[in-house]
Amino acid sequence: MKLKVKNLYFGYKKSFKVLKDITFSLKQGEIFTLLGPNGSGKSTLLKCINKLLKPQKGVVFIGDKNINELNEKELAREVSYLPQEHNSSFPYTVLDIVLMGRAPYIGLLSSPSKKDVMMAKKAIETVGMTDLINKPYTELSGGQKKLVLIARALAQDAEILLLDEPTNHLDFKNQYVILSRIKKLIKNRGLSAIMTLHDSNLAMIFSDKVAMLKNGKIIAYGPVEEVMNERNLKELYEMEIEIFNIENRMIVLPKLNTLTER
Amino acid sequence: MRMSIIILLFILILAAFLSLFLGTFPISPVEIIYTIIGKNVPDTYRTVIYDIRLPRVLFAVAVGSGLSVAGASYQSIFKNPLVSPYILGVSSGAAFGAALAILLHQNVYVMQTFAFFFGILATLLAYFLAKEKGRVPVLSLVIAGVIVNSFFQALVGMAKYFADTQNQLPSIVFWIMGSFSGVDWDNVSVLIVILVGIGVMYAIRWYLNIMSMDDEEAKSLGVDVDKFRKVIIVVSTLITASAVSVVGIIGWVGLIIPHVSRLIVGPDNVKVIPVSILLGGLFLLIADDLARTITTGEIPIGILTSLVGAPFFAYLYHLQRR
Repeated sequence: MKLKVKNLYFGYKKSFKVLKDITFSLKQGEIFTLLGPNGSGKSTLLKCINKLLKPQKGVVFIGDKNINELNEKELAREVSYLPQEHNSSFPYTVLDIVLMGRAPYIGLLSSPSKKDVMMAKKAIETVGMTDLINKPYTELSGGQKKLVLIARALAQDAEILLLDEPTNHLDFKNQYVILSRIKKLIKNRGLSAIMTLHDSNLAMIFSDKVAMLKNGKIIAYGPVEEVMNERNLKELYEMEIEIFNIENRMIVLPKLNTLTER
Repeated sequence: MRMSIIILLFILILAAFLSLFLGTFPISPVEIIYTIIGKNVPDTYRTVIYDIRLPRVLFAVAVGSGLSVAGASYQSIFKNPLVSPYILGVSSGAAFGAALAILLHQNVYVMQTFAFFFGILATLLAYFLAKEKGRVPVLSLVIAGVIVNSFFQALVGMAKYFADTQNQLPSIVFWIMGSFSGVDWDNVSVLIVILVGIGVMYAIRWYLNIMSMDDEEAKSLGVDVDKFRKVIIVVSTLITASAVSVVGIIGWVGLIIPHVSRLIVGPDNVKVIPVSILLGGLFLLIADDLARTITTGEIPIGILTSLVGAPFFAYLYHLQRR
């Protein structure tokens, strides 16, 4: 097991739990998607794995190491993180931004070495952004920014990727482009990823395993084929849902009449 | 990049050397060179060059560099290019410390000590006001800075109100406007603090890039954000409080020099910090040269930096927008 989360509880206040008894595991090369309505605790769960938030109870293991035994730099060498919203107050170039991914390997009193620059450039090449390497990050489109951040996560050279809504603000095509690239990278390099998504169809296409999170609890967890059914989705989103099989592709759609009636 | 730094360094050293030739005491350039190369000249010449002009030149450069570096680092940790080194109240605190010493009829060294410690005290107040559960969020810091600044400004106002109008009030007013005229070798410890502070900031300059990202993002890149922010605030405050305690409040330098540096070399702090050091030193050196030469008296340096800085900045802003 690459990553194991066991009986994890989290709450901003003692009385109110955002996450309740979360348990799951992730193998190498697996893409694991968290589905759930707004406020169900998806991003919170990612942040607990990343030590951005401290769970009240429960443990997170990376390999056989408890993450509480890792310091910031050690953890950043194991886990990289793609934030949901991202902006920069300063017009750093694409290269400057991607170089930041090398921080876990750079001493506090040092600057990036030639090797770091080389690795950053390689990561930029991998996501196909070499032409824009000296362009200010702030002038890029939403899709290009995501690619730069993915390059930064790659430069970080961690085996686990946490992707918080990698498709938000992306146009129809870019959602597929970005997720395909991520999937390819993960399969080719034997990485593992946990991502949060809002689109059940994207989740079906791009993930191996799914967990459905509702009010901080996992209500269904397992391989895509087993978990993504009408009953589970209906319970998750509290709406009538139909799954169609069109030329061997499963398509999730809401029942329209039930929506308009309400 | 390396070339522009070497050129800037050369210009700075040249300007510093030429600045030794400027001043109200009449010595001819030839006599100055005789003094520097150790020829037989009157003792007063040596005193003027080594004990009056040289410390003044060194201080102008160090304070300009220090304020610029403090400004650049604050702009990073506050994730805002419009922040000055005075945002957490160090200048208001120092102004009150100086005013208090003047009211209590203390000598100049007590005044400098008061200014230094009240500058630090103001920043500490802002820092602990902003602290919540071991974290120090940027927004809380900004608000705490506003509170502390206005509180100490009110205290300065009160000090002015109670000051006698013959001597104390003018002293307070002139102190606040800033001047290098009181600088001498007795202040060398301040010079060392500023230089060490600049050295620390130079060493960690690449991490300033990451500190300008969102806190969560910086953490996920393996940076202990809260600890780092504390170090940067401590070092910047030491630089700024040291500078302000000796030369008064000098505005604009800490705000515009990092800006101008970014216009020249881009936002990467690996380049911004060294360029800010050189440019800040050069800017304040030239400003002080003007302050002590264009009239028979002294023009307060704080006024000059704004007078020169504002139009210059307006021009750059105009260029950038075109």
